[in-house]
Order: sequence, then C-alpha cells, then structure tokens
Amino acid sequence: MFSFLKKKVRQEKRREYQPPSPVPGENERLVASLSDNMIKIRGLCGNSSDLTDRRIAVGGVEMAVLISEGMVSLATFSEIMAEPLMNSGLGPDSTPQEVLQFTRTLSLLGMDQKEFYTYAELFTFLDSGFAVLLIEGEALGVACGMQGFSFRSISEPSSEVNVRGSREGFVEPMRINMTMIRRRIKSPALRFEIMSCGVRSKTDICLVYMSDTVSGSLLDKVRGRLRSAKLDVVLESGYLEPFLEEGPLSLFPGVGTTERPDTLVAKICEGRVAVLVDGTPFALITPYLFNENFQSIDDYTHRPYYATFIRFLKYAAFFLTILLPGAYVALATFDPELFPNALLFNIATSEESTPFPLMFEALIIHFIYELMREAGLRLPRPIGHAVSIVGALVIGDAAVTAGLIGAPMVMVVAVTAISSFVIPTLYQSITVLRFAFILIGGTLGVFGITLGLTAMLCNLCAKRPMGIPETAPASPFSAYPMRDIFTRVSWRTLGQQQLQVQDLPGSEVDDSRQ
Amino acid sequence: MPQITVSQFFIMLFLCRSFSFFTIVPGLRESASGSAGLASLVLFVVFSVLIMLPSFLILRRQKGVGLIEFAYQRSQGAGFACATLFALLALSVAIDNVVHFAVFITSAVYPNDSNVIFVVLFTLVALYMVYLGLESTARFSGLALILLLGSLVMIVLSLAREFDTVGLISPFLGGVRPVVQGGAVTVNESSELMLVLLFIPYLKGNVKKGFLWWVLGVFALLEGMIFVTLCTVGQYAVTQSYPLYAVAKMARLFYFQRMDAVHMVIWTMIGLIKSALYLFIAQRCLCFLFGAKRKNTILLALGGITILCSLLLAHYFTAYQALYNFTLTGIPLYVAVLLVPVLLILIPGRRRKEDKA
Amino acid sequence: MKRLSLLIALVLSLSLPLCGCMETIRLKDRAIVQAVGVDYEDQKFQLTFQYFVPSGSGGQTAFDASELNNNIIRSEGDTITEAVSEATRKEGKQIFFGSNKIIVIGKAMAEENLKKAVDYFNANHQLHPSVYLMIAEESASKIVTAQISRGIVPASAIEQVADNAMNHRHMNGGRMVDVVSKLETGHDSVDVPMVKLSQQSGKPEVEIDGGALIKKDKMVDTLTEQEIQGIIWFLGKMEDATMTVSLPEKGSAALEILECSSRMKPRLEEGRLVFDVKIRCDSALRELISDEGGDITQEIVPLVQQMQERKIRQLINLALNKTLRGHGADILRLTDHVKKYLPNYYNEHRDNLEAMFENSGFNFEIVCNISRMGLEASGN
Repeated sequence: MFSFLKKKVRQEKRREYQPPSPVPGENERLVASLSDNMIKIRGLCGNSSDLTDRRIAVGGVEMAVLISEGMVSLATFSEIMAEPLMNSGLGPDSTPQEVLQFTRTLSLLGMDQKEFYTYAELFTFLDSGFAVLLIEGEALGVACGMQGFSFRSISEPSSEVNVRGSREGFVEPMRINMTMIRRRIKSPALRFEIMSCGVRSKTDICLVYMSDTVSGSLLDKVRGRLRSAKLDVVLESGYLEPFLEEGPLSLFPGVGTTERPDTLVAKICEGRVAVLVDGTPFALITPYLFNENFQSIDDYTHRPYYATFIRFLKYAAFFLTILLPGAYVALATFDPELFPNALLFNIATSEESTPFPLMFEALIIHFIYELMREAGLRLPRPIGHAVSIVGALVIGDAAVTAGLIGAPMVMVVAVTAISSFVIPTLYQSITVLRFAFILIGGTLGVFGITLGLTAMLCNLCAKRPMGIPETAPASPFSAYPMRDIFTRVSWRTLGQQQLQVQDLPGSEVDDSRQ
Repeated sequence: MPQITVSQFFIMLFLCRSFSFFTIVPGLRESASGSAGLASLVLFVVFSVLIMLPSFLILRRQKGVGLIEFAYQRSQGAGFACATLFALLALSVAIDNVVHFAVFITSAVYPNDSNVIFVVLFTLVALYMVYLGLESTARFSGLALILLLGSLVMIVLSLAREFDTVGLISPFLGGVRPVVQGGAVTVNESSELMLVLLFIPYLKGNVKKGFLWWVLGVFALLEGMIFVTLCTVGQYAVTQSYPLYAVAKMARLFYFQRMDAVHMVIWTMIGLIKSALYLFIAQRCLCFLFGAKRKNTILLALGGITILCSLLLAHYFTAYQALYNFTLTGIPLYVAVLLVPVLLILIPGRRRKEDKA
Repeated sequence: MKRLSLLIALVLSLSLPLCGCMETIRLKDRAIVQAVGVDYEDQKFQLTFQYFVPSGSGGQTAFDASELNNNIIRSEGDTITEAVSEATRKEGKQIFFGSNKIIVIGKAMAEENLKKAVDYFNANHQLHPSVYLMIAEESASKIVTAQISRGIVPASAIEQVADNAMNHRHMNGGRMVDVVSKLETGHDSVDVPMVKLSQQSGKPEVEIDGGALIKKDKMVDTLTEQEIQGIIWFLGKMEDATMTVSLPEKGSAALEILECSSRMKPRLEEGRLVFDVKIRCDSALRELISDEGGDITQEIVPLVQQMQERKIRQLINLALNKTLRGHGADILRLTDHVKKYLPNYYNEHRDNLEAMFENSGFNFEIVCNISRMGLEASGN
C-alpha cells in the first residue's frame, strides 16, 4: 500500500525549486567607459522608468549620477552631493583618478559611502536608496547613502499594546529599527550583523545581540541556519521562522516575535539573539521559551503583587481557553454527575430544545466565531465594526432564541474568546487546540481530554529551541529563575543577578563568548 | 544517549509507584489492609534497601554502567540474555499497567464501554511519549508530580471534617504475619527497583541518594494515603473496589461536589508515564539486540504486542490474575535485581574491551 | 514518506474514536433522578423515581423554579437492576443517578433486608456516597411522589429537611457512606433516619421522625427523637443543636450547644467490660422562660448546668436501653473502641461481642459549661 501511495505522490507534477538564474551580465564588472556602463545598465534593467541618471562634469571629467526615483532624498542629495561636486575646486584638466580621490578623501558625500565593482552591486545600492556615481575612466562606482523613501512613522505597536512603557514600535525600514535599539543600549557590546537573505529579493536582515552575554555557539547556530535558508524572496520575518525552529512537530512556536524595541532589548540582554528583517516591523527572537508567552513589558512596570496576579491570570486563561469548551462538552455528555445540581438543570433545560448534540453545537459556534474574527481582521475598519455588531446579534441572541444553540454554550464561547485574547502570541496554537479538544471531549470524554492534554504537554516538553528546554525553568526545575515565571519578584531582587538563557537547567548551550 | 537528572528519574519512579497504589484491585492480592498496612510500609522501606544493596555494591565500581552494559562487559551471551530478559520483564509490566488501567476505567468510570478504545488510545499516547524521548517524559513528570500532590492536598483538606481516628487500631491485631506479608507484597509489586539498575547510564547525579529519597517518599505517600482512607471513609473503603477513588468521590471543595474527575485525570497521566517508562526500557533493551537504527520499528512492534496482550488479558481476567499473582510472588523482581547481578559477577570477565551495544 | 506514514497513523487513530466505541448520551436522553424509593412487595422490588423535567417559563434558557419540574416513574423487577432497566424502557430515557439526592427505603423493604436495597446503589459509580438514605414510615413511594412545592424539584425539599436535621442534630448520620460503613463493620447495627409525610395547610410536607434501628441488615425497631439525641450525645456530635432543660420551680432554659466532644475508653474491671465515657459540652444560655419573670443571671447558671447534665444522662440512658440492652445492637461504636484499646480482649471475644456488651458497664462523666449568656442585663 505504501509503495502505491509513494508512486502516486511522485507522479504528481511538481515544480522543484530552482534558484533564479542571474540576469546575463549582472555579475560582470564595471568598465572604464562611462557610456558603455550606462548602456549596460539600461540594458540590464530593461530601461526601467524609475532609473534616473544625470551626466555632469566635475573637474572636466564626465560623471554620471544614478538614483532610483523616489528612493533618494533630493534635499539631502543636493546638499551633500550635488553642491560639493559642483564646487569641488578641481581644475578643468583633472584626471579621473583625481576626481575619484576627491570623492574618497576630499569630500564627505555621505556618511555611508561605499565603492563597488559589479553591476549586481550597483543595482543593490540603487534599490537600497543610494545615489550612485560613475566616473569616466574608472571601472568602479561610488555609492552614497541618502535614503529618502517614504515609510510609516513610528507608532504604537498594534499587536503588543501596553499600559505603561514606551509607545514606540518597530517600523518597516530595518535601519530605523536599529537606531531604536541603539538608543536603548548605549553599550559597545551591542552588535548588529547585517546579512542578506532571499536570492531574488536580497532582503537585509540583521542579527542583534549582546557580545558580552550571548553564547558563541548559539550565535553560530543562528547564523548558520539563516545562511542555509534558501528562499527566493523574504518579505516577512515569518519566512525565516521555520529555519530557526527545531525539535518535534509542534503547535507551539519555538521562535518569538516582537514589535517592541524595549522587549527586544530585554531579551537580548538575557543572551538571546534577535533578527531584524527589512520590510517588516516584526523582529524574531530565539530561543523562545513557553513561559515567555505569558510575559509582557507591563509585568515589569507594574508592582510585583499585581504583576504576579496577572501572570496567574494568564496561565489560567491559557488552560481555560483550550480546555473549557472541550471539558464542558465532555462533562455534559459523559459525566454530568460532576456538575452541581443547579447548573446541571440549566444545561439540561437548554439541551431540551436544541437539535444538535453538544459537540456539534460547540464546533458550529466556535467556527462561526472564528469566521467573524477573521472577517473583522480583513475588512476595512468601518465595516469591521458592523461585523462585531452582527456577530453579537447572530450568536448572542438570534441563535439562542431560535433554539439552535443553548445559552450556556454562548457563555462558554464568550469566556473562551476573551481568555484567548489575554495571550495573543499563542492564538494560533490555542485555536487549533481548542477545536481538537472539543472533538476529543465530545467523543472520548474526560479520558480523551486527559490523553490529549498529556500528549500536548509532552510535546511541549520535548521541544528544545536552540538546545534549551522549552519548559525550562519549570521543568527541568530550577528555583532561581522561577522568580520571573509564575511570579514576578521585585526589581530589587531581579536586578541582583542577571539571568542568561545558557544558564537555564537542561540547557545544551555553552557559555563561550564570541 | 538521552540523559536526565537523578531527581527527574526518581520523580518518575515515585509516580509509577503511586499508580500501583491508586489502582489496588481487591481480590488480586493478599496483603495487609487497614492499620496493618501502615506498619507493613516500614518493612517495605527496609526490604527495598536490603534487596538493592547487592546490586549497588556490584555496580559500585562501574561508573555510569547499568546492568545490561555490565552484562555485555562480562560476555556477549550474558548481555544478550540480560537484554532479552529485561525487555520481556519491562514489556510485561507495561502490559500489566495497561490492563490495570483498562479494568479500572471500565469498572469505576465508564462501565458500559468497551476495553478496546481505552487500551488502544492509552497505548498509542504512551508510544508517542516514548517516541518523543526520555527527556520529555521526565520533564512532564515534574508537572505531573505537582498536579498529583496538589490534588491529594485538595482531597485531604476537603475531607478534614470527616476525620475520625477510631478506625486506627493496632497493626498487629491479626498477628505479625499480615504485616510481614504486606511488607513483602509491597516490595514484590515494586518493579521500579529493577528500573533503577537499568537506568544508571542515563542518569546524572547521585543514584544512591536519589534511591533513598524515593523509598522515603513512597513510604510517606502510601502511609499518608492509607491513614487518610482509614480516618475518613473507614470501613466504607472495604466495600469499594477502588478505595482511593471512593475517597476522591466523597471529597467536596467549594462548589465542586466531587473530585473523582481530578483523581481520574491525575491517575491517567501517571499511568501514561509509567507505561512510557517501561516501554522505553523495553525498546532500549531490544535496541541492544537489533540495533539502535531500528528503534522506531521496535517501538511499533512493542505497541502492537502491548495492545494485543492487554486486550486478551482484560478479556480473560483469570489469566491476568494468574500473571499478577505470579508477579506478586516476587520471583521476577528477585531474579532481575538479585540473581542476575550475582550471576554476572560469577561469569569471568572478557579480556578485551567491547563496544557498547 | 515518513510524514505520510505519520499522517496515515494520525488519521486512523483520530477516526477510531468516531466509530462510536464510547457511549454518548445526550442530557435530554437522561432521566436525571432526584429521589428514588425502594419498596418490596410480593417478592419484587418496586422502584419509584422522581426525575427532573423542566417546566419552562417560556424561555428556552430557563426553567420556572416555582413549578414542580418533575415526573414520576414506577417500575418493578426481581432485582433492582431489572427494575431500573424497566424504568429506562418505559420512559425512553436512561436512568441517571449522578444527581440523586435521596434514597428512601420502604418500611417493608427495611424489615426484609436493608442491605439488599443498598448494595445496588453502593456499587453504582454515578451515585455520590453522601446521598441521604432514609427509611419511610410506610411506603417509600409516598415520600418520593409527594409534590412538595419548595425548591426546584420536590426532592430538593426533602434534601433541605435532611440537611437541617443533620445540621441541628435531629438526625445521626443518614448518608449512604455512614450506613454502609457501619453495616460493614461486622457488627451490623446502624441507625437510619425515618422520614414521614405530613400535611400542613393542605400541602404535603416531609419531616424526619426519629430513626430505625437496623440489626443484621434488618429493621428491628424504631428510635424516638430523644433516643436519637442520646446516641448523638454519646458520640459527642451535638454542636449547633439546641436543648431545652426544665429548671425545678424556675421554669425552663433554652441552650444552644456551641461545642461538644466525647471520649470513650474501654477497660476491664474484674473481667467485665466497662466504658469510661467523658462528654464535654460548651453551651450558650439563650433564653429563660419563667412564670416569675426571672432574668438570665450568673446565679442561675450552675442550676442550668446541673439540669443539662441530668438531661443528657437521661437521653443517653434511653438510647442505651433501646439499642444495646434492648436489642444488643452496637451503634455507638463500642466494638471499634474495644478493638482499638483492648485488641487482645477483642480477639478472644470477637464471636461473642453481643453478650459481652449486654453485661458491660458505663461510667459517664458529663461536664457542661455555659460560657455565654446573651446581652440581656438585669434591670436591678
């Protein structure tokens, strides 16, 4: 049977991934003739409309200035490049070498100034918002960074809202994000390592870490994984997540994301490595442990007793949201003796007139809820509000009055939904688990839920993101790090000793420094 | 080779031992009940330490070497025989565990349902736990221990008002024999003693210290639970097939009228840990014979055998009784823990070093 | 390929539970029994079930608590199991005992053999061990079918009455766990509360009226309320109860028992078993009813204490005369104490305990203390 299935699968036509072949001539070196260079450049980009070039003569030597329209700040360009070039003071008989020397040492055409030799590099710089200079007689180009493309201004992160603390969130340009991080750690130990990812998109990604805290082996592993990621385009940090995860197939993430610079800074100070991706405000953090899903920056700004209470609330919310519907269905179907009498009477009364068994009721209503939630996300805001009103009417009132579902089930869905919003990072896992537990509870009762819960917890315990047990320090247990897991002790205690991920119990990460 | 800490290992053993107690089936064993049980547990501590002494002394000089590795060091044939013996023993305990579970759940919780679904699903989840590895089961045991202790505290607190010590009578009311017999039976049931010798290569830490803590912990747990049962439900427990389940049914806490669901959840988790542990050791023993590359195939085979045998034994309860009574004689345990180490010492050791299997 | 195999295994294992291997019953297909009565007539068990049926107030989501919300099923069989099956067949709903509050045994059934009726319920996994077990003055069916309009279902009213009786010490034990554990001690004597139906303002009401004395699984006699109180005093469980003592030439005093404890220790005196029983109680003097209009003052306290002690002795003696001396029934846990404190004596006489108890003696030391006297002060 298996060989038959194998054969069937192989017969399916699939397009195997082929890395894109370079455009012919892309990797060739620049030539000394400016005209030849320009002809080649126009030919390579197919005379693209956004490529703007201008010929000027500086010191009698012909130069071409190329920019990608809209990528360069024209005010900056005229101030730091055009004017110095026009007023270079070079004589009319200057040689190309003298002009080149001028750009190298006698002028400051931009803080970010690089020389390049191939057409591929030229296009990379052009597409990154650099102004490019080509000099007649020199087989190289000079790129000066003067980005001026439009981007979304820094605003409050939409996915990580907090009561106290910074309201700054990452934006799409990676370099702006780097500055936000740098402003928060004024230490030379903070390192940024930029690399390129995506064969076609050549997206800039940046490893962020503290060199005096991070483990050398961890860093090497992250670097190696990212380098081995063979992707055509990298448009979002999520593309790189699977390459950083390891361990058994699991519903729980092994790589964290954050939109907040303060959160990222806190994580890298514990020896973690962050990855910024150009074009997305979501940074990746690895290794990411299970207990971090229940931590937020607000925990560290509130008073310890309240922060501890909120932590407990979050843990309770997690189990409530995945288990409540399944447990309700299981108990009502298989073990109603576990309900107190008054509650049992209410449930029995509501079930008298509903046509569906409880399991189907739960599945239907949760499915409708997910539909509405997804619709509310995708629709434009003005219509999105209408969806929530319709949803409340449809589920909250009409369905119950029509006798399609019971009122207790509506309460269960409401509590479940609200609980899931308390831990947004686990929403994907929670949604799938919730449906799974409803199915299991409806067919196998409390016994099935126990089996499912055991399998889920064992799966969680088996995960080792970057060699660190996902459930550390709860299991394997270590008392000291627990000060920031179920409770949050005062900063007077937290500040006394730094916790690093390589010190967690069961960690395979060594403490070598880069 | 997977490695876990000594504390994680003995937590797993503690849970395994508590499972046997939670699912005592009257009529399957002649042991001390009531107050005599309290005294027999003291003998359990003494007997356990005495039985393990020879093996610890024999393996004392072999740092990090378990019984099977030691056997292979002595001779290939001895290693083969040991691996086969322990694989069979571990598999039989795993099967016994599954049958115990199935009998309990179809007697006390779901009397109208078939054994098949419980046996199959229980075994599948246990196999999955073995597949995930020893470390994940060990870590999960830490969480299960907290749940177990929490649930026991809840049950005991909710029954506080029922406490009456009149049921605590002299443990020697029926003579010394029931106490000694009870102690011996409690030890004979403790197949976990065998696991200690087999898991040594996988453990980081002081095994002897961990073992002592385990014995004392089991003593404290069983002593406490017998005490609570005697003082709360008293003679009512005698009328129930599963006394601790009856205690949990009686417990009321705040709005919750009964706590038997809590008992069932904890006990199912513990049963899974126990099955996974024994299936793991059976797999490892068979890997010595067939090669580590085939471990997943071996695991599937073990799962199939477990399911088949469990279904048969659950159906033919007299056969299960016979097997269980044979276990209670202690012969399998003493062979594994006493006879095998002594025989291995008598085999002349091999001159050249052998690779580990 | 490995993933494909895993996927197939997953799909197979997930589809396994869907093959209906576990019985699922919807709540509306269950008859949620609230009270069950067991009678025995013509060698057949006659069962009466009172189960919950919502009488809606118009909304799908609620039942009307002012309505009776119940239905009655009657069935019979050679065994209780057969009778339950017949009830299931008649009503088309699975009999569900998980929410059952009351088990009423008819007098005839109790006189025939109580254990026969109780065994089925004791073995039932749905039933809570703390369900009330009572014996009806006549037939259990009358109690269970009484439509008492208090609570969501009539059985709630019976449960409330039983709760109050238990809390205020008009009833000793009365839960299935108490009855079964005493029947299993091997000295097979237990007192079970008796319940009777009465009419008040034309509406049916239930009340606890003493108890039934069960010996060797059969009802042999009834116990009056005073005898029941004597038993409870002997066992030292009288807290939260009230007591009225008459004061010679001074009227009567009402006491509220705040704390009560009892310690019993058996000993041998010239080969005869003697029980030293020390009862201690702490009470509050709540009311003094006197024709002379006397006030509650410190001077009256010793007299009240003395009269209280006397009354307690009287009640205990009534209980002893009926149970131990009258029927040789040990419901005072004397055997347990002999087993605990005189194990050798117990072993020698375990087959003849009844005779041993009939000749035994009791030394009572009853210490009554009135620690509170309310807020009233003398006008003088």
